[in-house]
Amino acid sequence: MSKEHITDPNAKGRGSLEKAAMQDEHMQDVHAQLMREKEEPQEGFSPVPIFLMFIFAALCFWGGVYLVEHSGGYRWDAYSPDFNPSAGAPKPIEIALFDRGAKVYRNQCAQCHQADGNGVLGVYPPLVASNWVTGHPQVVSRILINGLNGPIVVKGSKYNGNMPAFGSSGLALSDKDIAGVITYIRQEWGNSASDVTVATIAEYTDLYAGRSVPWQAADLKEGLGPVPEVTAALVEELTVDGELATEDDVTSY
Amino acid sequence: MSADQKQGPYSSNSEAVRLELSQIDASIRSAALFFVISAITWLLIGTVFALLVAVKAHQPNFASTFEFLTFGRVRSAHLNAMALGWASNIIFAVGLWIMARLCRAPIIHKGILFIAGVFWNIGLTVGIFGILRGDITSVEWLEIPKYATPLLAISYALIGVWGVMAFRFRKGDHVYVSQWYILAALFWFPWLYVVAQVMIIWLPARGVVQSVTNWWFAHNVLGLWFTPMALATAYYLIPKVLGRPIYSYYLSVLGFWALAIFYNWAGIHHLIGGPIPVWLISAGIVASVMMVIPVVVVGINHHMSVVGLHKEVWRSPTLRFVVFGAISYTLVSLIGSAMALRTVSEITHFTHFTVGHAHHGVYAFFTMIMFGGVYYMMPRLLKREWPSSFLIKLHFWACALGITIMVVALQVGGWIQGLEMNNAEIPFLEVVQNTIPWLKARSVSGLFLTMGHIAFAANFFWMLFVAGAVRAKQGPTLLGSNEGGAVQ
Repeated sequence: MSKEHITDPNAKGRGSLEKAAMQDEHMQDVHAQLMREKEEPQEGFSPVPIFLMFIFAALCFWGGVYLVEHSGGYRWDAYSPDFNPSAGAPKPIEIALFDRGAKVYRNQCAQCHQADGNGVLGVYPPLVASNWVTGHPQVVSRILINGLNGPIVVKGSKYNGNMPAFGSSGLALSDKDIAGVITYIRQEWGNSASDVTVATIAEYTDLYAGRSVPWQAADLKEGLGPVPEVTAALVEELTVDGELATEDDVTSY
Repeated sequence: MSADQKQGPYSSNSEAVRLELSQIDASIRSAALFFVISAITWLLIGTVFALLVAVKAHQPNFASTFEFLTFGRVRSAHLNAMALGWASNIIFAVGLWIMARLCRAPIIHKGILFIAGVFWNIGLTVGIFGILRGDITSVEWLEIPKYATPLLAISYALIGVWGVMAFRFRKGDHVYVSQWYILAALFWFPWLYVVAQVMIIWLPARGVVQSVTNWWFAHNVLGLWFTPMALATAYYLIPKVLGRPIYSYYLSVLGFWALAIFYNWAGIHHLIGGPIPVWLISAGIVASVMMVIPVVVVGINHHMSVVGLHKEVWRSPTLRFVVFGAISYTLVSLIGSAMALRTVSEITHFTHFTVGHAHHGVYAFFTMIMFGGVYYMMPRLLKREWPSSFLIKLHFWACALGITIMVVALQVGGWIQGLEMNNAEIPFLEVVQNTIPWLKARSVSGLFLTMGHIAFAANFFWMLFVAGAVRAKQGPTLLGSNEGGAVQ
């Protein structure tokens, strides 16, 4: 460390001149701070304490473990420190048909049929306790998919309006949304009909995709298929509904 | 003890070296003086802003009749006046002076350095007025409006280059640890500033990349601009004043490289819980904790260099400040590493704890060391002594007490605030009200700091302007009896 490289050659000439000047009292005064200054800093070479190296090694180990545990697999779309990349893709949250339907109903249906499902007497037919709704699922599905116009009697009152189509020929809701909203109106406000699954609706939309005119009340009950089975648990309820539908008091035109 | 110390290669007991140092001091005198005067002026202006902000925090109606004195603007004016006015100017003065001395290379074109310094301060003045006018950007630490920042960047380039030039034309084989820090910081700061300006203000990156860049910049200004410059100053002054070598070269190396590797990542811990990829935050947390390594290493290195000479430290105005700063560095950094942990951040984030932490770092660590640097540098530039040891003591005690009160008040108050905010049963307004006593304590601490700054400025301008100020012959101004030889 203590290699001797004291002066640089450039300063030599000036240095000797300055040496003489240094005798001058004023110069000594001016340089007093420098005179009493300690050497320019140097470094000792004491070794790094070994216990520090152990502590640092432990820190590095901790850092590695922390990164493995909380790095989310270095994915750009992992935001939770507890995300575990080896747990497989996160499952999308499945919203129940009924809840999905409730939302669709609020956005698409409630303006006419009202939030309480009672409609407006003489203008918009009620959905509560209406056998058009709670009866054979294919009936209400037909109305949803292709729309309905012309006169219809619901719970003893006559209506003559225009129900828009929500299938591919109209507002083009997805099968899931249609299944949801039908399930919703069949089970809300005290209605207690069966679920209508997405698969059932998919079948119906395939069936009626080609139809471009709305249904008339008279045609609705023509050519119905068998009531689709939902789940084993619901079969009993379904048959009850099916019976109810045959006792329908609604006159068709 | 120092009289019969072994003579080293650059010992200023050698006349040739003394002559060289004298020439170097002369070459930087005008520019360094300008930077120190600017720095102290900004320090006083920033203090006024700080007092306004502190009082507004518990007295919202205070001075709120003028739009330019509203909290949002004055707070940012305070931040920029302190960070770019006080801190950066004092870095230009002390950092460049130390660099030139250690490289044994005079500043050749000192006129350019001086003029660049003038433009830096013009740019900053325009920027601060812009902030007060309402042209403030919405980005923390980069509030200065677009029309002032290019001037700042260009001026910086013309200032920083002289440190690099000094290093390029250095003499001697050995490069001292202070030189590493200063050289690195001279490159780090412009890189940070330009990248942040371009990615956030000029050609904004999309989405959360902006906030990542923002905190990368804001935290690195502290860690890769202020910190290395303050450490370089401490590394220079401790052995210089005590006449004893730094304890260990190996610790210096380890400390420098650990800072260089880890600090750059640490800023992302400001975004814990934010919508950015979690690995980035986790990497920031790990890097923040890893900062324990350079901090402990530097702490040991400084401590072992000073140990046993505590009387000398206490008597030297320079070292009293520098050692206060060096101890604060260890404390504030360890607290900072702890704050980066998710469980701690849950409590401290969005509270006054963070504000206390920021002042702990920038003031108790950086500013105190730079005060020490000024106390050492000025007598050598002016060939005069500090006129009043009383004012130095007043400066030290007012600042030491003031910053201690502030950090304790904000961190205790902030911790309580954090716990209360996490408790859903306490209404938010009640949490806010509970912070008021602590904020009042912060205002009191501000008065102490103001007193210290006035004492410092008075002593400085007395030394600068009063003709026939104490001459060097009478010996250094010390904070105690002169027996045992000069230590300053």
